[in-house]
Amino acid sequence: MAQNIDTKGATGNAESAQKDYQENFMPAVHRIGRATMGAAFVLAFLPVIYFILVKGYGLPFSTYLNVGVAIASVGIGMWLTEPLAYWPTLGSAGTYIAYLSGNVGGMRFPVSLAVQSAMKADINKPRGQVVTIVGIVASVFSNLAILFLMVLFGDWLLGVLPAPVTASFAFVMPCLFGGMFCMRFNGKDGIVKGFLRNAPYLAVAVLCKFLVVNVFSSLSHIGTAISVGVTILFAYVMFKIQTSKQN
Amino acid sequence: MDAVKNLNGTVWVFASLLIAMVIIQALLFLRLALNFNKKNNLATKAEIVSAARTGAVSVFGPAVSVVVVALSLIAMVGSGATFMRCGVIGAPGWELLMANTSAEAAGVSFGSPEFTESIFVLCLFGMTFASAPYFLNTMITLKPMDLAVKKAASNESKGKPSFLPVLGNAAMMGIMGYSLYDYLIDPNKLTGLLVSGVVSFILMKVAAKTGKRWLGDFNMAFAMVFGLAAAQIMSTIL
Repeated sequence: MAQNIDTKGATGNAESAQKDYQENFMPAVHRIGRATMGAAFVLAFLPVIYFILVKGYGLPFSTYLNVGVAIASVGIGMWLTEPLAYWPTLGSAGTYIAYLSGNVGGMRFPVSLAVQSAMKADINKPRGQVVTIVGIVASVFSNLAILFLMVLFGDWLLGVLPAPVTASFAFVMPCLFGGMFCMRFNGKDGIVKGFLRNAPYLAVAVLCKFLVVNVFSSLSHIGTAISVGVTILFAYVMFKIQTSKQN
Repeated sequence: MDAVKNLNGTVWVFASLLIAMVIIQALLFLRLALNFNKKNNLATKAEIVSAARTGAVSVFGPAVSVVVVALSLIAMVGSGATFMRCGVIGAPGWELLMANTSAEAAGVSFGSPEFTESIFVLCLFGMTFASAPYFLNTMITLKPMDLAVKKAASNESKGKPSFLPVLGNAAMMGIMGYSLYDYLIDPNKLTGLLVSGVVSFILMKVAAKTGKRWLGDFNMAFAMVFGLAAAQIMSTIL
């Protein structure tokens, strides 16, 4: 019983929440996630199937194969690694939503970071899951509304916006990264320590990109996967060294 | 581009179905989260509102900024396909690349008379195919990952340190660092990154000090505006 004192602050309420989370919430997340992803998978191919089989706008099979191979060689690294790389921040529900609604790196990932940072929430805790899901869902509706308006009035908007404003759109990603790094580094022990803790990993990833760009350019289409893999390997070695020191 | 025009109406019908799925999924998860929260009292009502506001305003910059790419995509594959592809799984830049790759593989360029209905459908196939494996990936891998976390958590409570939290962080830094390289070698991008980072940090401090929640919710949006302005000014000077 003495061990229970260690989990200070964990009231009976929090324990029952944890139980409910493991027994009911998480299974429900995967039930909803798998069912909706499966249905969307079919719906996504539906127009293509309809146009080819019903309308007869088909081409020789070899053409599709050709396109498939061309795209697979670009995509395979990302298909395999990307969702798992974002998952630790998005959580399972967030990853399902993100990979159906798209714009993961530019929208869902930054939104999750912003919500968790503002709420001091941890995605591996029930509360973190709740606020992250609410934030991501809101971002989906907001994006769909804006996208719809863009599709309808985009031409007009581009005409109205001053040229420097549209030119500045080229810098959206780095500006997003500035905010994201800041939120990511600013943990319990302050932003400097957070930065120093993450700097070695970042350095490894930057080095990976440098090598891919300048030396192994033939690997550029799986560069992200290589970077993630190497960084994880580096982290594992550091982790092993640290834990063996402690023992 | 008659081919695109001819099929655009039909594509809108399918686009609506797929977007409906996105909305249904979002609502299902929202209901699950809110019910779970109600039962266990994890986040206050104000926190829920704040999280929703953060989500809604943080995407504004990125969503508006894709208009340039989205419009070129409309010119190529029509409004219906653009709405479908950018509202589901894709992002405009990626879809543009995939549409191009598809047409090129067939040896046809956009806007040429050879761009027939069949080629348009081939582009649709290519764009869909480029994203569909993500669906399968999440369906297969996420549940085992959660079980692994559960196991790691129970190991941790027995005093065994877990590599899992380290792995998550390393993976994220692996992704972010890979892009960071491009921003480090471009003074304009680096300016944008640094300025938005500093603004974000200041806003965080002010929000924490004053307790004004809306400042936290708008953090990402504000940081982005300042970052964009700084990067743009820098690029005019250089």
